[in-house]
Amino acid sequence: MPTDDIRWIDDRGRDNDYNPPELNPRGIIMEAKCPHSATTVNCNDCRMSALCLPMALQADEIDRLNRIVERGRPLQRNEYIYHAGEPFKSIYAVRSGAVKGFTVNDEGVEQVTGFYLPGEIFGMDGIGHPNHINSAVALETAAICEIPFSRLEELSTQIPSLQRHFFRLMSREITNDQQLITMLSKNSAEERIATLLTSISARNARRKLSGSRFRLPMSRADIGNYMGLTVETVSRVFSRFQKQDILSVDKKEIEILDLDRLRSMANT
Amino acid sequence: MTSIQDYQGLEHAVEFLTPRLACANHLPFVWTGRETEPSPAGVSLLCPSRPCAGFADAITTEMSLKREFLAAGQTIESLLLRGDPMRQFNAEQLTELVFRFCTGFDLADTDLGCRSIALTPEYCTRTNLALVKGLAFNFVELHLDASIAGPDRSIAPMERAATLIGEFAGLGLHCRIRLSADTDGGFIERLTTTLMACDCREIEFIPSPPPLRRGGNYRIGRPVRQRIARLLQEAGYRLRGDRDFTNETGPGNGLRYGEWGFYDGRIQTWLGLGPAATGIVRRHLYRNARDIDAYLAKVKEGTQPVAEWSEAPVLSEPACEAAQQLFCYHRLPGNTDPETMANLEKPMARGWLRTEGDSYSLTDAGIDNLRTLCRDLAHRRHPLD
Repeated sequence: MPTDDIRWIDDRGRDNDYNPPELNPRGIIMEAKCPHSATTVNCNDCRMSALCLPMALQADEIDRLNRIVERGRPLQRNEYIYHAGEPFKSIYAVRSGAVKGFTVNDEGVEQVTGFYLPGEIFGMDGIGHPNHINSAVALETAAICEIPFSRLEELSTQIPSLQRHFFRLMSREITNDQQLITMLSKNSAEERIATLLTSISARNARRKLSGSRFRLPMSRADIGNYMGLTVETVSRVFSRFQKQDILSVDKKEIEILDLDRLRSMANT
Repeated sequence: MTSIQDYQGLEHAVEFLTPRLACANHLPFVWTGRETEPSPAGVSLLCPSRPCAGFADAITTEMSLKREFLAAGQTIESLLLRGDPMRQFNAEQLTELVFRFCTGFDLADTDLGCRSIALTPEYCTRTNLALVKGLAFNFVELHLDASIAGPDRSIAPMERAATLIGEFAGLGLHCRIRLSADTDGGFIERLTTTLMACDCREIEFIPSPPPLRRGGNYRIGRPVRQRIARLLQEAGYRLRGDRDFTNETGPGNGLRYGEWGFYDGRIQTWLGLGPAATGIVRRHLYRNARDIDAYLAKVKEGTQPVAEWSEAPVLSEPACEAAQQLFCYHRLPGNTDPETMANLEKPMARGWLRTEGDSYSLTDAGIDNLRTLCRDLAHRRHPLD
């Protein structure tokens, strides 16, 4: 057996300093810095820290926040983060992947209430209520940080900037939701789709990703449900935007060719 | 020193409806901890016009302090943000305020409650209104200053604000219009017509001194008032009090009037928060310190900022009840107590009241003098009268 004071190299060229990669529950090797990995991620070096709760914090404050964050294994597609009616205990941050929020009415019909991308906080529908009003499910493999709300509240009393930032995030979420509801009640199908695409574009740009070329994590059916449109209308609008050279579409891969025109359609 | 102009929203001064005898500034009753109070409570937050550093934190603290005024299990049904809230709260502070309200009190599980916020047209942006709607406010109280509106003054900003409010389904509109003797009658008519078209549920015309001259009668002329009243009544609005028109169906015979306007009389406890705010707790009236700095200092040291309590019970006196009936419904039932009726002999002789079947109703002259009538009536039993 190799010992620490003998330098060895194996047949793959790996030496003493090599750290074996972690395996996910499916036995797939994951790199230590993979965003889906739960074991080595820390708020201090998370790629989403500039968008998420740590944004307003100093280094030592981020450490204190990091201690209350719980990170479980990555979630697979269609795996639930929480169900409607479950007691509200935590809010959540998307570290990677994408999440869909939805409600189910008395007739069992699902209504999509929002899409959450990396760096975004969700689960705030439970605040002020004993239980979650919506359900949240992963749209693709996703890594989620869970922040127990009582501990966040306690920490916020000690770190005023955290409290302010948290309520800033909450007010932005509330405002965006309401503006969407208002938009749905009066805008055309093209204007609604344009609003969604410009929103995703802006959210990607905030993460320093391309705002003009991205992959839609949600299905056409989910988009239709969210926008109050049939899936056929959604497909027709995408085709129309392609013919008008506003978009280039290849299944879920989107390239925005004329962002200015899309923005003016979205009234933004 | 704080002046009354710092408190937009105190126009509903109701000295005539709530006679009081100031006493020591301590709670005039003692909770045993076994009290229950089945009727819901309301919260009325009065925000000064002058921006005050630390106001948002002070209100959050006062909310915790005022919890001791509620009986165990007493729920909150209404929340009124009055005065100039957007001068004191930015978006995240407003969100936190509502969050603290939702988590700090037991909220009544009903759709009957009123959750309103006072806004001026400059603050009626799509973003602000989206937040207000998202925070579950169901009314905007739009404050308009028309005290020096000439005939060529544009109503465009007011119309824009009212139209934008209408874009948010479920967000109702109440309007408070400040007028003076200098306000052009044609302008009022144009504004009123526009507000009716925007489905404004309540329009109140508040007389104020003309800013450009002092003294004299500052009420708008009677012909203008009559023209506006006719315009509104033909559109289905009815008059409450002496200056408030509404097309809403009220709570039957349970309407009351207080410093926060007309409200459902089922709510018998009001927590008034903020400087100069008034509250009613167990039928006793209190008022917070009027001076903003004194208010902030008291809250910062963790003590109730109440400056005075009324010793006299305010809700159960027959004379006060009669004053409320006259003010809210312009009528008195025929079985009103004899002593109150004796006090109404002079107003009747003046032609302010007339008999109608087995009840009494106000004449136009009575409505014109309603506040005087109610004040005299309510104070008749006051020991200082």
